[in-house]
Amino acid sequence: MRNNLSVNHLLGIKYLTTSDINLIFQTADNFKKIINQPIKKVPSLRDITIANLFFENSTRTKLSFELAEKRLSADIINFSSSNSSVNKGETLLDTVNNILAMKVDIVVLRHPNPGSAVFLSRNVKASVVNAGDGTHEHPTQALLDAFSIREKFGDVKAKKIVIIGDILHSRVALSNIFCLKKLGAQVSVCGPSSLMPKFLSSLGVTHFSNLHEALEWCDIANVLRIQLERQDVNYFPSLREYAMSFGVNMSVLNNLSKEITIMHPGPINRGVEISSDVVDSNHSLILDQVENGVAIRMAVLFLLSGKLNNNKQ
Amino acid sequence: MGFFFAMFVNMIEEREILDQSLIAVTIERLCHQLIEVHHNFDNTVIVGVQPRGTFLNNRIIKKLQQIHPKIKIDSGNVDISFYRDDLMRRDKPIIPQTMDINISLEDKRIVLVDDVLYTGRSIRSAIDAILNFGRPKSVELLTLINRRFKRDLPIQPNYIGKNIDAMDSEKIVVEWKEVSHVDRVLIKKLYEK
Amino acid sequence: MKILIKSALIIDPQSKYHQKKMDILVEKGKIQKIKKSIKIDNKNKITEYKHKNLHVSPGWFDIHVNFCEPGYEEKETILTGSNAAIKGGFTGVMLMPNTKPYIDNKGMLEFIKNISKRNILDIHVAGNITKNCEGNDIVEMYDMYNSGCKAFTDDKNSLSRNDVMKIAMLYSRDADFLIMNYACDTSLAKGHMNEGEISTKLGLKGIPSVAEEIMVDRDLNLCKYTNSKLHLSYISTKESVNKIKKAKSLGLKVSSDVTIHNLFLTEDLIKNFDTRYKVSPPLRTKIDNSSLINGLKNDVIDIISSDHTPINEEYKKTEFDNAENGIIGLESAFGLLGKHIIHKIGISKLIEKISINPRKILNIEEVIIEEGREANMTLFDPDVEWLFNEEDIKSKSKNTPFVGEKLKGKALAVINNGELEIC
Repeated sequence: MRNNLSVNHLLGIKYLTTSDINLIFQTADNFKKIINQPIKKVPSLRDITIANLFFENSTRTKLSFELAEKRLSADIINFSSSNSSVNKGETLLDTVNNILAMKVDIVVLRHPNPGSAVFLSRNVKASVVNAGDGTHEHPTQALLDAFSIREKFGDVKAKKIVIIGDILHSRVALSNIFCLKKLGAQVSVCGPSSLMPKFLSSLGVTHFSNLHEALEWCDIANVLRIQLERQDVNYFPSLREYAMSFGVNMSVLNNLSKEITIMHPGPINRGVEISSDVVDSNHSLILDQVENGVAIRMAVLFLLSGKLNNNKQ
Repeated sequence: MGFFFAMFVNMIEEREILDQSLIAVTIERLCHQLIEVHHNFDNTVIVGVQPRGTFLNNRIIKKLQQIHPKIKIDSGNVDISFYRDDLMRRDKPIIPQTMDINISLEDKRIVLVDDVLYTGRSIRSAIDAILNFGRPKSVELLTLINRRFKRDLPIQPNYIGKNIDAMDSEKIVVEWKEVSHVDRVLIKKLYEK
Repeated sequence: MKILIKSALIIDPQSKYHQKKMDILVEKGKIQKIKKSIKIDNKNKITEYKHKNLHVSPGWFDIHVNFCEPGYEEKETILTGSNAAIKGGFTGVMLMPNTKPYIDNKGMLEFIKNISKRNILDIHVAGNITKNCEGNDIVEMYDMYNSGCKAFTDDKNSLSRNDVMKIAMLYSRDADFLIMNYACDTSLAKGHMNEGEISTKLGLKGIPSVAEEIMVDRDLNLCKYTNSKLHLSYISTKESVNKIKKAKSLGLKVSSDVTIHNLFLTEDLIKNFDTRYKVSPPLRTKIDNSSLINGLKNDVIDIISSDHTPINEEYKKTEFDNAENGIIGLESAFGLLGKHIIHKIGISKLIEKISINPRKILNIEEVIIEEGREANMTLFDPDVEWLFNEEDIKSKSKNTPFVGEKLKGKALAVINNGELEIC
């Protein structure tokens, strides 16, 4: 077991090795204990400054990162801008360089363009954490999802996980597929073919077009939010029809021959991709995911900070 | 601390300061000193400092139980990884250990246990860490080896196994049966290649 | 001015001296004499050109270049672009009409002619098919044709309306100008790279091959229906090659071209979001590369172009989605062809694709290396290996991934309009 990350940035799951992922999990185990102590704060990052740059609306991820940073005693500066100017490239690099002039060690970036975190990591001196870049990756979400599965089942290996929803436009799906495959899980996806990438098989996953079959196959179903805002044309006719064909509700779960676990990265459209009774049932890992998100992000920031020294030399 | 220097230097001098039987005698003496102060340990928690203080902590608990089979002693181990102040200054990554404190330390008398006291920085971190489990009545420090030179912080042990005055270029290595098949304390003199 | 070219291997499939090593005497812009050995008495009145492994061919011609003037002079001007073309060994280019304003009337055409500054480079200008490049109403083609416009294209704005394409093609039948279209269905091509494994893993929107092939089908159908000439630009997929091959065998008057980079670069180069390789049409796969090369071999594809597209650094040094498409190509064109293509299609075929066919298809006066003809030629060494450096770039923009790469084959000098210039 290596005890250092192989990377200086967290840009995507595809750039991590399996031992990187396991190291993050082991460190997160420690932090999970810490955040259940009476005093949840540790001074690890007290001489580190982190900039949270959110160029896209986000509440949960931003809160989770902020909490993780505060629990680690880092200094934080926040920048949010969702008004898309004509020339985003200029804005991104210029904005970030402006902020870096204030001696920032780590940048947490959320941006609507795929690859923007990779682009930034090549052009700035700070360590970059991708908090979601367009339809590319959302690595901390995938890590916390896999961590939650590991916590509940002991191991991710050989588990059967189906990801339900819009795979074509989802960074969560892509990162989850990479992460779960690296950890030895079996992954399939479920949803209408119009929401599937044509070259899906290159990701090593199979496609179910029938929800019942998919749920019957899996141990865990990760239900994605249906995001209408990322689509330039309608890839399916209506939310109503989607909910009828692919919505996960209690009657669908009760028709299965076994019990399965339900996950959702949030925010939830209750009654569309998932019904309220499922969200609040004991099938659901949704609140564990939120708690684990903080531990995972603490682990990532802690491990990357440990590498800052080497970068500076 | 400082194991990694081994890669860059030749170790040519190595001297044993304590052997297995001397360590046993020392631990026994430390236990009697603890009993003198803490009597039946009803409000005391003995806390080992991860990773290497744990071994000594286990020995102490075992010995105390041998001496007083009937008393119950609360103990735990504290992981200082996240409370260190040198995260960005180290050449090697910090490897987190388990934080193993399952009781509130509120108003308890704490005895921190570590194998070697040198700069005092680890103990500073350990005090920081245990304060998160409540406000203790007092904190004491027990150490097998007290290196008296180069203390960076005003920290002194209450219970001392052995005082050693060694040069900065020398290194004190405590080996435990659990990992090295023998209990002993060595002083190693390091020469650069 | 008299120029004597010593023992040059002539590569000109149209000439009786093809594949022969000759001395060539150029005087007053004309080829005076071609002989095994030409002796000159008065040596101080003549420029003698000698070089190891010297080859000579009709001057090279690139049918798609962007010199960005007027409108985008920060990227390139006609002068800097001309210098780039000369550096690359070209004696003729055709400018694409995506300037600001567009070249959609005779006035603009005349304006461009007046800013042309290098006498040694023949500059032709393509006009827009539609007014303001909007894809709706065709421009005054006859008027522009009479001012020397040989071809019409909306360049990278593929002409999507079927009715407008039909009208443009019918209209072109009565005069001898060419309609060129970049086959690309814009509703399917809302992406940033080839749709495939790489785009899937990067989460980048893909441009499927079918976006091109649907349009190739439509254009070939209209070509058949209107019985007009058609030129398909920037072919990039295997299926497109097959479709054009079939159309040619059925006797349709269709011609096509391909860019240099689409012949040997693949989508894999983008896997780290490298914007230098963002081009339109996108880089595709090895299979497409070899189909395109086969297409060159069996004359399905008639022309190779550098598709010289200058872009300022800030539009490349940005996130992939926001980066602009294009590579500058004139200076590195022959070195890349020599390295990757020449051994696959042979040198005569290559010269047809970069010199003879472009003029033939555009109906520009042919250039032949024979006595009494206009001297329009490129002198080159197809075997010399050289390092492509930033100093070799004469273009105002530097957007090329090839700096620092070892290339094979180099233009040595160009002769045209009575002048000689060392490249």
